[in-house]
Amino acid sequence: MSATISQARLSFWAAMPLRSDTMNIKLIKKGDIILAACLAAVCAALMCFGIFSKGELVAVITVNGEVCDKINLGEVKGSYTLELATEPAVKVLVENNAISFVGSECPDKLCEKAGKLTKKGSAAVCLPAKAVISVEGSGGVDAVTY
Amino acid sequence: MKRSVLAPRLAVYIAAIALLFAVASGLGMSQSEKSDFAMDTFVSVKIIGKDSDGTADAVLAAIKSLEGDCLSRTNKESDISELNLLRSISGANPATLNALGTALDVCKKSAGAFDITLGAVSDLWDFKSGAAALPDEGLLAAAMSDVGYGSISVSGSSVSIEGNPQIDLGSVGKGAACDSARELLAQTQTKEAVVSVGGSVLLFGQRDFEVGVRDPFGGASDFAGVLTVSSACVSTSGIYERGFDLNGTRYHHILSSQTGYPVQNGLVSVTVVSESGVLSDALSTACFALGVEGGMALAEEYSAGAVFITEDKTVYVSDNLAGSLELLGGYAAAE
Repeated sequence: MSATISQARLSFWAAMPLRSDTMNIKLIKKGDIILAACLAAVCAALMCFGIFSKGELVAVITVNGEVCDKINLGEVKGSYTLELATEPAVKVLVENNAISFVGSECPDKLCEKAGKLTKKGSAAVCLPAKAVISVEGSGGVDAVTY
Repeated sequence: MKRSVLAPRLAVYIAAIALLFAVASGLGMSQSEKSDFAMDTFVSVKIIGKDSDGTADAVLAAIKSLEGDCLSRTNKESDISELNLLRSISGANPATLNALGTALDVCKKSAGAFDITLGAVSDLWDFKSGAAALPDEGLLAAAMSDVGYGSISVSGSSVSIEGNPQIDLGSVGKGAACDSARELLAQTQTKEAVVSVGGSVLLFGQRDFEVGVRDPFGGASDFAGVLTVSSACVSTSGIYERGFDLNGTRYHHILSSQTGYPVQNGLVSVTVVSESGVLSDALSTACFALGVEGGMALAEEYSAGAVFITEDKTVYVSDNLAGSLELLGGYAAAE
């Protein structure tokens, strides 16, 4: 018996048999494996959650490269307008699953021409105001070329 | 006896937890999304990898430095500004030489349909103020008389221009930014990245990416089709972004090197896929200027993929992209 113990201490892998013939005792029980598997699953889920957790359509409003608001568009009921503190002034219309620039005072109105953003990966930019609205979420395209 | 059974079990737990930590830290995956303004447009960077935050900052800094040190026409200290002012520079940055060299090659292969010496001509057009006004014809003719990429000579890191043309690398700047981003990302432990410099996009990573091709007649969330590409750069030139409408004509920013006026050939957008950002950017403009037939031949010469969309919503796709483009409502492939 003492030989069996010393072998187990000598090598980690030697201690791995699920059943010790000499002792007829289970060294690793089924519960241990299930627990280890559960631990692994929880860790994997946490990691995936950290990396890929974006189930809904979320609008991100950025001014001068700084995020100033994030809005879950799926939770928006009705609609409302946000006035951004920019020069020139720009307004953003927030609706259920849509966001758009409206009534901007910029000269070329390119931001308004972008229309309503309803899909992940799309963005509208007001260059003079350095304001950007973009939509994030799961699914959809990785990028848009224009 | 009790101890002897506990020891291996404990060892298994410790090993399992150590393995999980090892896997977690080995992947070390974090995701970062950052944005800034550069190259006269909005730049966004999405990265999954080790130290994604630091990498995203570094990518944005690299793009800003490319603009400020190399390609800008407004920063007086950039290579291109100095070249335009002094008519000759030496010791130009490698990124400047790369962008310039590739752009000049496209100028030659497109027989001048693409020309990077339209700087003074495009300065006469105002696509930003919202005022729908044509440039003075006399001034336009004078500026056109200086146009000609043949006046540029590159020798090692020295560049010189004969005559008066003004170099404008605006048509390759966004693509060059994608190239400098990729160069930097390749030196980091980045698993995947999407860098958008305006409408020019870098897809970096070992997977297929989906890229929406903007519907020229719709908004930013409307696509004419969706391209599936692996690591590549994608650029588009279209008439819908910068331009104005006057007396029923669309005046847009893709200027003909022959007339100095916007190219009017029935195309509304051209999208090009290439490994090189500079090439995808230059070719999207060049292919637009050449039209479907000439543009398709030019793209093929560079083994690039191309998607041409006409004003009647017909789509011409190069053979190498035929299976990679899913067209959406209202758009039909040419027969």
